[in-house]
Amino acid sequence: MMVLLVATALPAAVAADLAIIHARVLPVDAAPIEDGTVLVTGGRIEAVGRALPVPAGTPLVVDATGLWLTPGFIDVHSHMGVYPWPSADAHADGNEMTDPVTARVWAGDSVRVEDPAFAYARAGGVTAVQVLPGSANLVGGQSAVLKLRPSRTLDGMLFREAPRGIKMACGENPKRVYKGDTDGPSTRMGNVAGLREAFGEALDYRAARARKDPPPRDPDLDVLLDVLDGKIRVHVHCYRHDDIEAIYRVMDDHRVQVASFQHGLEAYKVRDIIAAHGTGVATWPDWWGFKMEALDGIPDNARLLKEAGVVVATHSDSPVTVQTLGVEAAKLVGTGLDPARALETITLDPARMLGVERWVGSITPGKHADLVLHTGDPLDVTSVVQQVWIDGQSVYRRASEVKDAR
Amino acid sequence: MPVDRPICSRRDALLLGAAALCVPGAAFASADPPVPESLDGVGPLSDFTLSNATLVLPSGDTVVGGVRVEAGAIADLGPGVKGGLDLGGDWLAAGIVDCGNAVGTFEVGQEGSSRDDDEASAAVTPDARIRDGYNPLSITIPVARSGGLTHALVLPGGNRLVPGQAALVRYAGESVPEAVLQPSAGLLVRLGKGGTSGDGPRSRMGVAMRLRELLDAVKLPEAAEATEESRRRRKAPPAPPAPSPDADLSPAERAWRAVRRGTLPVLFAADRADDLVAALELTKAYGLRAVLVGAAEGWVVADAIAAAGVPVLLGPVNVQPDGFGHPLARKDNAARLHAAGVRFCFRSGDNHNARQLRVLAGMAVAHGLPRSAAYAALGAHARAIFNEPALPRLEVGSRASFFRCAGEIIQPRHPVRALWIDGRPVSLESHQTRLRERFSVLR
Repeated sequence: MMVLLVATALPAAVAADLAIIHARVLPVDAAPIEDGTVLVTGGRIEAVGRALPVPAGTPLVVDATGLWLTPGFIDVHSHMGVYPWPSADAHADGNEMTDPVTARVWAGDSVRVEDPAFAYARAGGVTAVQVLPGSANLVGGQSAVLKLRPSRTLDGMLFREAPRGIKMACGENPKRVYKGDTDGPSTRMGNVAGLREAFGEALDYRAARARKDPPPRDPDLDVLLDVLDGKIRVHVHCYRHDDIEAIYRVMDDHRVQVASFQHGLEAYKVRDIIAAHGTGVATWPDWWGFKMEALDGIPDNARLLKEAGVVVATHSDSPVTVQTLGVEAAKLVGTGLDPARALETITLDPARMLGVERWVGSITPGKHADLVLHTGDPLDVTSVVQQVWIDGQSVYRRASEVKDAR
Repeated sequence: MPVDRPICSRRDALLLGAAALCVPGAAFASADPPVPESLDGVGPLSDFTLSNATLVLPSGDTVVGGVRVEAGAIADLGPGVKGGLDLGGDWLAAGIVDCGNAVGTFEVGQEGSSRDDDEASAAVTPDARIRDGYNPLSITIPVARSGGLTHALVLPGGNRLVPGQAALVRYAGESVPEAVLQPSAGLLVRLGKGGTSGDGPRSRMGVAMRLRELLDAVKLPEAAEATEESRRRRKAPPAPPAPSPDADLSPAERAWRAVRRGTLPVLFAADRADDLVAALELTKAYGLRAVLVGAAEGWVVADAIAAAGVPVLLGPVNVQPDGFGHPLARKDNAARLHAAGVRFCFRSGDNHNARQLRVLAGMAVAHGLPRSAAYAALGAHARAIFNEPALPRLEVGSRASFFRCAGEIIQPRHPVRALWIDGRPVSLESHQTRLRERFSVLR
């Protein structure tokens, strides 16, 4: 790959900071473009098209002949930073296991910015992630949506436009963690009752706060009121389809929109109900069997959900698989999903799930220039990432060509 | 199906001569599922020919041709074989041998009532055999087969110094004797922090100390030349154990004696470079027949491993520099080991996702391993490493254990379409395909 300084004068329709030329471009929201050009200005995508003229004076022109260009990959379920490397007891900062409802905590306050996993994910073409608290609690806390910019500060990583998100959980985890507590929950019915109680408390609190002698501020209930008012996107960790149904019983009563079910291994069994609710599902292509509620996970889950019109994110929940989201998406192709639809599950669909599709998720004029250049088809297991840009800035470039005998 | 048929007893069947109506189980049927023709999904033996396939040869090279199977073995193979079933260019490769996994030893990870992989009653259990914890009818086996796996080295679980003996199995057979090729394929010994536990050593010092004690305590009637003998034997396939005065030994003592004699390989689970070196030191000092398992930092000491001639059960290859156990793990580890001349085969280390082993091999290719080396490390290399002639290779004379894939075998986009073990077709139906069928249309 070559980076050229262009000195020749070309007709200047627009100014550009960066031009990527001769790439096979997969915009995701449009058909693939052969000999594609992407122009970047001020960190935004200026233009996308076949063999576009490069404006005179463009300081950086990247010849991507033979390479594939995609939008940056997005992982909606990450614990990078809150369980940073090296794995250590002292690094377990993802679960505030002191009460089943800890709506007040924010994952960003746990993030170790220097977690080496961020750089590994970036080198795998991931440009944005949602860092979530763990699933020990019914209401685990608020998420931090990050751009994977190299930064010394969390401030430098925040995805500023992203709406707030909150993590909730049902099923085995909360009932296991709080089994020893007298207040529970220790059963699935206890989980659901606990969530209802929390919402009920929040509504009582609102009424009390409006009276003459208001109770003191309660940071958990303040956040839950924002949930009830639709100000925070709700992501619920759920595996079983009957757990999904139970969550809808609570949320429908309070007219709370569920943005996504996380993991959702049995979502395929109630995909019609999920589609009717407009809820997305973030899932793995293959994980199953590690716990009882994961026993009915099947590789066709994502395909069946996509076919039912559900927004589907291929998530990682792992600092390992986040580095190879293209491979994860390719596993869906193995179940019969169209490759273009599979690519959506690591780009545009997760952007929709996080409410950031206006800014990222496809190579579209006006969106952030979060771009990834691959040595080949991103769904080919032998392809690797050549270069990554976030907001038009180059943030990763493969150090050297791998000499191989293939 | 049986519930739709007339329910009749065994005596009715005799009286009516209506065996076809009275399928087994019908007399007892209620909500029970129909009794399948075979519980292990394995069909009848027959001679057959497959043609127009991309064959993956033991060298890892590919050639378009066919395979003729007779009496469960490959009778002919290559471009000259025509006729039979036309595979339309699909790939045909030797069955994948997962050189270290836990398939068949538990159904659900977090559910203790389903687990038989870890005999945690002591830190050192050399006579515990995973063969006795292996369930050939586990629901995890058909799922593993859906990834092209036909055979595996099953490792006992548990982070302890000596978890027990590994078994070499095939994914066919309804009983343990039918499924297990080698019940004592090697003794697993864990180095590094994986070898420490509450009732065992607590540090790497203790791991080395305790292992020296265990090995020094072995009484060898054949005395001093035993070490020389086993060294000599390491170069050639070991002779079958001679009749010996072992009868008065406890099973544990017998295991250790077999280790010292070199008839029972030691599988050293080690990842950090210093642990790999420790394994090589013990191997040399005691004349062991050794195999390395894991080797996340193998590239650091690749030349020493190659010089020792010790094979490696490599993986999982996507291991990360995520902790103190292997901070120097690299994505090009496999490529570097290959370049140094180390002999290895891949392992998943997994149970439910062992089926993805071929994809992990693909990741090694992405980071510099030649394709042919990756293909060979998925299947062909295992036979020599375990000295087991029944393990698959796509060559004349080998057992007919192979799988058909929609394209290049390391690509997740290409599903496995068919699989044979020892010349018999094996169903790809599983717990997962049954769920898929049941919910393909919502009612």
